[in-house]
Amino acid sequence: MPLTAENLYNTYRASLLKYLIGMLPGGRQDALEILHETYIRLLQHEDLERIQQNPRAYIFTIATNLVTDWLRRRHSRRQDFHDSFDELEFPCDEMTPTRALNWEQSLSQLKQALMGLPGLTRQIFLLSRFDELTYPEIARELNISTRTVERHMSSAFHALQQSLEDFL
Amino acid sequence: MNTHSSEQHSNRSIRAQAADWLAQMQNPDATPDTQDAFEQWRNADIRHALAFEQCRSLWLMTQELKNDADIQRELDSARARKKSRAHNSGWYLFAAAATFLVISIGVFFQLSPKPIEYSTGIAEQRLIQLEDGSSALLNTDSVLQVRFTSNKRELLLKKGEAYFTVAKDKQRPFEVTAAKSSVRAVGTEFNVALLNHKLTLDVTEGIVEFKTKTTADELLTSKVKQGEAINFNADDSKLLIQPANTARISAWKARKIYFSADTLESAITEYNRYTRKKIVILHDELKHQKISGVFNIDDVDAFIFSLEQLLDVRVERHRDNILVMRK
Repeated sequence: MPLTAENLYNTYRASLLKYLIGMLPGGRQDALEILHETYIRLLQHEDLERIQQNPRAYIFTIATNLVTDWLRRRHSRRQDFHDSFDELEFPCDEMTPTRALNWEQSLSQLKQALMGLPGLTRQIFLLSRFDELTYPEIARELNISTRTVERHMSSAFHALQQSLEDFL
Repeated sequence: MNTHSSEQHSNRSIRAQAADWLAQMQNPDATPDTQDAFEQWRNADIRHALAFEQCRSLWLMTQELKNDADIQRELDSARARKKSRAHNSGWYLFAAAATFLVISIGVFFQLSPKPIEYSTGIAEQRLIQLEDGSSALLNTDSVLQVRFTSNKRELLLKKGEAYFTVAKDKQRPFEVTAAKSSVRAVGTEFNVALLNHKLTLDVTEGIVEFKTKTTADELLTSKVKQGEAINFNADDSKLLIQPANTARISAWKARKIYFSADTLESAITEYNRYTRKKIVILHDELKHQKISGVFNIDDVDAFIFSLEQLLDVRVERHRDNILVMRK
């Protein structure tokens, strides 16, 4: 089979879609959008030879890049929304049936991974994630070295990866 | 078997490296040398890039756990630990004040009714009759929340487009919010669209008051009259009144799309709102060709056929997309 964008796409389409549904809160519809965008990127790619060695990793990298952009945009949009329209007035976090079960599963696995971390590691991760403290700030507050904060963060990331190992 | 397990082993060690690198790169004090070493590692193997990007997605995904009760409790205990080490008494006062504020907001909002949410799927339209005699016609792929109280009629267009026919009620202004903008009316007809971070307001009857905020947090307001429109992009710094595009609005209300010397790019963006199988322009130089005409929103084949006839393009149908490319 010649190495064309279309062949590559058709080979990985199903597994990619499953992967995307697990990483996006919007369910199948958002996953399909990212899937299509991945295909467009592949089509626009002039030099497919370069990716011959590991096409799966290549196409999943394109898709994952799009996922991180998407998640980032989602969070910044929410920030905007908070300014203008109080979320308490119009709660928009309610579960809707369009949300994929897989996404809920992913979130609950990530949560389990965080809850299963040693106390200090979990606290460092949460302060960094939700209070947006920098490593030096955390280090100062907890009286440990920045390098130690880094090591805790690394082991928290590793726990997150392991919790979703099946589909990463 | 052997190769399989050794591959698994190597994937695992790549993931561990990715976790290490992400932890290092999130330190604002990472040195340029560390950055270089990181770039080198990432570019050495596509699997490195993938593992790193995945790790970054997981980090972003955990944002969604922010409101989880268990996570909140753990975060509180992390803050407490921090606080006890820092001996910062001012923090208690702040926390106490913040708690009071949260509680009072909570009590206040429990008194008002929950908003009702209406939505449409792609290519779907829906007429919503509101309790005060007003109505909202929702266009394709849109979400509208409605909440009426004794002194206000509040609506939130979360995405998409809607045409509002407002029943007169001087005691209860009718206010539609979309992103950072709001439209306030007493009795009138107008269309609001929130698409790609751009807000469009067209007034077809009466007069409304438009309010928005610039990125610099400056408040802009303007009265908009019948036959006038406002197009406001998130990064605009002033309001510009233009003629309303009534032809376009009457067209969508009749399930049609109307183009008048629109660029191919904007025409396709518009058409894609109504189709699951998206049309994509593959080559940038085609984007500025002009197109005019009236098309049915349910007939993508006719639209594609016209593109092929009217413009200098080739169209290819794929499983998930329709690609428009140069000949």
